[in-house]
Amino acid sequence: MALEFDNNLPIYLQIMNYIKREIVTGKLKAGDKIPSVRELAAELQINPNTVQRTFQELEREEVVETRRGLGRYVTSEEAKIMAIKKEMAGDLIQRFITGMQELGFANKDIAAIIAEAVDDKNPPALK
Amino acid sequence: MMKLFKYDWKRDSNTIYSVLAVLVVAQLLLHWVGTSRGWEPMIKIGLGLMVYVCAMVVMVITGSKAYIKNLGSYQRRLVPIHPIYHILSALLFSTLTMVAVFAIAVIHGLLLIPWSELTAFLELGNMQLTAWDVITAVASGIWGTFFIMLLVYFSITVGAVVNIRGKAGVWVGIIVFIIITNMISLISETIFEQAGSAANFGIVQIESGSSAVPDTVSVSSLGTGLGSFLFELVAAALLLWLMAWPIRKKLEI
Amino acid sequence: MKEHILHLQGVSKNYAGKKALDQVSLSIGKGKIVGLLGTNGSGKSTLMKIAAGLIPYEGNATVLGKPAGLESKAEVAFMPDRPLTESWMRVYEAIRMQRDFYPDFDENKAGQMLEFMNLRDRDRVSTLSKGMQERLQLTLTLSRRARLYLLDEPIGGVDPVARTRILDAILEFYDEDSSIVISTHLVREIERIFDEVLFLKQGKVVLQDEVEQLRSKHGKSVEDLFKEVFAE
Repeated sequence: MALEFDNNLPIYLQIMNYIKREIVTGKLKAGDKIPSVRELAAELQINPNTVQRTFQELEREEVVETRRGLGRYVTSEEAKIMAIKKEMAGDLIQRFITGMQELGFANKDIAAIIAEAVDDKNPPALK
Repeated sequence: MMKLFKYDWKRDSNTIYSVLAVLVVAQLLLHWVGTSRGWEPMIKIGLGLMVYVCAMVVMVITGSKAYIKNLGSYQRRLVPIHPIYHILSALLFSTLTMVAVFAIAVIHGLLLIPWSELTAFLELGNMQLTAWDVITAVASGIWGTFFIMLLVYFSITVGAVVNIRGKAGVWVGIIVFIIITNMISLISETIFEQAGSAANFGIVQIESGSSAVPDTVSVSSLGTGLGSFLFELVAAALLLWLMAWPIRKKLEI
Repeated sequence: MKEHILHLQGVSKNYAGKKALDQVSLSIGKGKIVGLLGTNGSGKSTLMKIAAGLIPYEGNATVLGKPAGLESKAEVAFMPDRPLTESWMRVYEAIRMQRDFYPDFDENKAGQMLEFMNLRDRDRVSTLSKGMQERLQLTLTLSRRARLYLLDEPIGGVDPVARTRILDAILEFYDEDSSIVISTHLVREIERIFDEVLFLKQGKVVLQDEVEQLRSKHGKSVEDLFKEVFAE
């Protein structure tokens, strides 16, 4: 994992997002084992307690589960993974809409622009 | 403490061995040259003594440097051992090196110098030297070196303490050394009313005033007899305690 | 107070009229990696030397409840800014010296670390490059199973490759029962491994906080905060 961290933002949040990404994109599959705190801390050169906190948060969100004596694993519930995907999409969309609104676009214009942009016949470029 | 001593020894063992080797070679050379050229015994012994003195000086210097390095080395100061052991370890080291020189001298004397020459040199007249005399002379010599090194170390410590505030440390150290050696012999003489003379057993004090060989080779223990020895013992304990105190207070050097 | 690995209360240190430390109070719990940040002359080294039991001080300083000094030395592994080793030694002698004097010295760990750092037993300390010397110092220090590790500028003046190795070694030998205090003025490279940071300015503690808190609260990196606090 070659990861660029932004030291301006809490690192544990960034790791959480990264792991969620890996899960959603399928690089980490449902039920896969996750590296231990020490392994991850060493790999990313990050404080172990930060990694610990990340895992705790992910567990709280039920993205990750601990199996006693065995380690931590990605949740095996596909529904949960779908939910994460939707949540991440939701964040992206929200950011996009807010950005567009700041540029001055009205909501229905935004919808139209998107429709055009993802239309296969038109290359995805704004006119 | 022996662990500390192990490292003191390792650090300077090369120097020590070379000095001892050079010493032996030099003495053998002198003896051979002196005998074949038929020098006067006084000159032979006198020159030999000079070489021994040089060797002792080198040992004193090495011992002092060892102590100074001990005071400054972080690796040592972090070790969870009472500071008194750093001092004792260095003292043991110095004393041993000087005893080594002594031992060579004694062997040299026993093997190569005829008894008559030795007694003449020491100006013993008709006095007979017994084995006991020799033993006490040697023991007192060993104690003497130990005590002198202690005084040297004490002066170094005082100098080091002063050094924190300024660079005057070295001079202070030297002055302290002079003061304290004189003080001790003064006190010793006043209490025990003995002025040393070369004839008393227990002193290794050698002078040869009249010959062409340089004189005042005083490898002296500062005092004679049991009383003085006890006094020095007490003084040594006091000085050791005084030295350990600033080091224990974690002196910064 | 016994749960704290290091506890300072009103600690001051004067050097010929200059206050190196002024009424410093702080606590460090176990399992923490703490950054001690400040510019040169801010008192970081002095603070570490006091915690290591090397120099006298005013005030209260305890390591695991024991006063900083002879009693605490066995619990502390200190890597000072000056070389820890005597220059006449070879690497294996330096290792042996640690083993001889510290019951908590782990010779296996030392062997592993030496390999990790590319150091050979028979190398003479005096012939090692600066980077290799740092690695040796680190090996000697981290091979002890101490409760408190104090590293004074472990990555200063060292090339980026050695730096990474050093950070790796620190993380690998991290233990939940002990704490590591690292002093540095190179913040960017190392801020990710800190739990907490302490800013020391002219002998006074001007900031002590958890790093992630600082990031959420201020939206700034420790490096940026550092620049702000220590701007002339």
